[in-house]
Amino acid sequence: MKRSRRSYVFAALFLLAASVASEGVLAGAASPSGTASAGPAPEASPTKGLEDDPPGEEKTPAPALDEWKGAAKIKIHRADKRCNAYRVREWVKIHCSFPAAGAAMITGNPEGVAVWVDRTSMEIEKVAFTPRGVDVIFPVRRGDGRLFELYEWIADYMYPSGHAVSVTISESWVEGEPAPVLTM
Amino acid sequence: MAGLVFFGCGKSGDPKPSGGALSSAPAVSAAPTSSPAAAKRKAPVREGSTISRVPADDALYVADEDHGVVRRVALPLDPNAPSILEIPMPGPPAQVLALDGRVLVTVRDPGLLLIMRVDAEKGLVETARVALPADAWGVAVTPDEKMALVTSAWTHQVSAIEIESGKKRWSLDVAREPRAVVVRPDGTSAYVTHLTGSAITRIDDIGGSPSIKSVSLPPDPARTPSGKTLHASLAYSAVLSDDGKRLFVPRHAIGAMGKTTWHEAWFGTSTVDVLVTATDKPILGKRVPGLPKARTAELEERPGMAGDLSVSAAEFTPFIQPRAVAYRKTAKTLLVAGEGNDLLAELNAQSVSPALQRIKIYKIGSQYDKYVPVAASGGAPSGIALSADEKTAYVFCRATYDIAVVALSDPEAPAPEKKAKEEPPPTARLAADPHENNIAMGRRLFYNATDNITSGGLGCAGCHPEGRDDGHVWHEADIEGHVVFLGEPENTPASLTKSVKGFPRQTPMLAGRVNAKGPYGWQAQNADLVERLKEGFRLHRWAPDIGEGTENQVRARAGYLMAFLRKGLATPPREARDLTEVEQKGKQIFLSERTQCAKCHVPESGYTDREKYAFQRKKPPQGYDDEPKNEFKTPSLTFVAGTPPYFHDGSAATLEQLIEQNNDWMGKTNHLSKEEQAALVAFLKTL
Repeated sequence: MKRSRRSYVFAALFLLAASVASEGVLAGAASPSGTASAGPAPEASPTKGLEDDPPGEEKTPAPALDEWKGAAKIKIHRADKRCNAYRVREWVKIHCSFPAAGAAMITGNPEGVAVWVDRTSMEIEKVAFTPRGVDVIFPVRRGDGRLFELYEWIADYMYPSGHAVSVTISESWVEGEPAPVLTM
Repeated sequence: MAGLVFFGCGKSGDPKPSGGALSSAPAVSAAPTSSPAAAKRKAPVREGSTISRVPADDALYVADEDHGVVRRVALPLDPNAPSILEIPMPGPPAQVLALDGRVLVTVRDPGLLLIMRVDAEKGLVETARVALPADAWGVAVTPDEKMALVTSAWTHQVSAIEIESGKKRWSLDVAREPRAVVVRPDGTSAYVTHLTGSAITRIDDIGGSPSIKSVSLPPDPARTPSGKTLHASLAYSAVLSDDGKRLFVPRHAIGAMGKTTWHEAWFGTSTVDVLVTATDKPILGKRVPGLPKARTAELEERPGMAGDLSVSAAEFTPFIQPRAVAYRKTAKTLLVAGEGNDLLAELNAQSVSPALQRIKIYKIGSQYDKYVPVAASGGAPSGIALSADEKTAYVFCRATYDIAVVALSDPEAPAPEKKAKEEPPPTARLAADPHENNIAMGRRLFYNATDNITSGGLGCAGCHPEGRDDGHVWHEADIEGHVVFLGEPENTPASLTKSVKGFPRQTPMLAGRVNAKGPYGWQAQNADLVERLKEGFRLHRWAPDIGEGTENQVRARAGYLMAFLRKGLATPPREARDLTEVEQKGKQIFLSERTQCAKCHVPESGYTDREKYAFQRKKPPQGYDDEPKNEFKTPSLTFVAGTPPYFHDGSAATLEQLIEQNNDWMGKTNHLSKEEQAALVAFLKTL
């Protein structure tokens, strides 16, 4: 099903809210050990990826905002430490935080795909140094082959002078392979 | 018949130690001792390369076609004192493939597969010599190691040989310049890559009655202009993933788009294209416009900086002129040898586009010359062999005849906070250049893509691989008063408001065709070869005013290259035989006064009078500009069989088509019958 530009914007608004909400839930999580400490214990990295529980064949609708709030983190191959990946059914959301300039899907099936970047305005001197949220959401289905690029500002002295690829996300589910492959 | 050669005796230009350490000349190796009978060990890899590690893990074999030898290099390898045994070959060896107790060697001229066994005294001894179509090049074996497949590049054939008996089972005609061959895990089919063109060939039923089919594998879909399929070149190598489900083909995507903050692709991009072997379809579909993207407000306010984010902004040449590839099972990565920029690129093999997800670059070249910056060590990597634990890559470097010993990093380890300056890896020198210094420098320049005066990011060998051609019709475009080559109009610099088409200019072959004084150029615009080379330096870049050197700097480079092109570049093999009856008839037609071929294609001067003539007016091919100056120099017909398509615009796909459509424009051919036309073509193919 093709989506119009308007629906991408609409989805982006939901994503913004979902992203802020999910990050907020995680940030506020209590330490797993329950013991008193100077601060919250660092979160353990996820140990399971899509290959451990491959999605089924059913095509489900994109998750609603509430569904992303409680989404499980999943492991990505060669993950960038600035990014986390979450899963709801066959849907994956990758959230990264760094001084982002933009993000784009480069190639692949755009069905269900959404891309979002935090557009909060800030002083120009801070743009190239202040982390912003970037989200990419897509369904994972057999036959997929997709590539995304997330761009980071390059600074010339204090000001943004260009952008370069900071994170590349590849998603594929090749015929004959038992599970999809998600890698950065 | 002694296969033992004392290395370094009486030769000029004795090999110099590398890595800054002085050492004595390499020791003659102790002859390999016979090992007791043991269970047969599987070959580490099933595809050949210029360097191959034996299953017993005590040696490497290196094919050095420039010296006409195979060398056995003992492991463990001490770069300062390598133990080397030199085994002369009956012709230039292209690849080696080490099996347990045996080594397969392809020989280019005459075309041969040598089946050799490891010998305690002589290093290698022939057990079979299999005659093949000339220019035998790539080799691979079936999983049971009973059959070998060999590509013959210039003669565009693939052959199958029973290893035990040394009997050739079959030879098949395939598309132009077959190079790498990879057998599928089931052992019944194989893929073949080609130096020119984007499709690969699949051969089925290799153990029975083989059949071939073309498999579409468009290069670099992530950076292809929307709606187009690009040409590809330089597919020297290919490798399967460990589960056999993906085939990786490193090559060049001519005309693919690339734009980083600092520069743009004029020739295209370096790519690793992935074929899904279960379906024989590329892992990536065609690029479509209008894909989702998002920008910050600040990026939107700077449109010139951003572009439209529809094309990858990744570095478009992480490696230049990919010459070899290895699959690193333990890390699920690919190692690609960049001949043009003297490095090994480690790429994510799990990616849909591995060239866009590089993990690490290992710089191999070192000791760059102060005046003409080409490497004196680690120059032009051409083959890779991995150690048994895959922690070391042995890389044979063809311009400097050494083996770089590269310590591979753990790709899962986190990147260090501060990037330490990495020293180039130690290298073990195997031999000096077989030619004098001018030719040796020319060789290094020919492969080199990083000297800013010679070219803008692509070596001569990038478009003229082995002095041949890439089969592409380039766009000679005027960019604001400067003339440059573009792969496709979409490579027009973004600073221009309108895309430029340019005139069609097919890459000419060089080997064996540049001995005359002059003139040179499709329109005879350059008086001699040095002037043509100087113009070439200006043409082959994206911004003409970048990198121009002083007259002395430019002339020095042109001089070195001229020496190499004329005296160092090997020409394709030519079968020494009498003409057949049909070819004799074709020769008579060619020489006849009625047909007039020889009037311009003068046999005594390389089948060209080097004069320019008005070309028949016709519409340019789609995507090119019309030519105001419609005169072209008579091209040489030497080696013409191997250089389709034809004409400056590539408008004739085959020689048959060229003759058929001539219509008495070049000489007189309308009076020729079909049989006479065929005879004429048969003769042309012998030149």
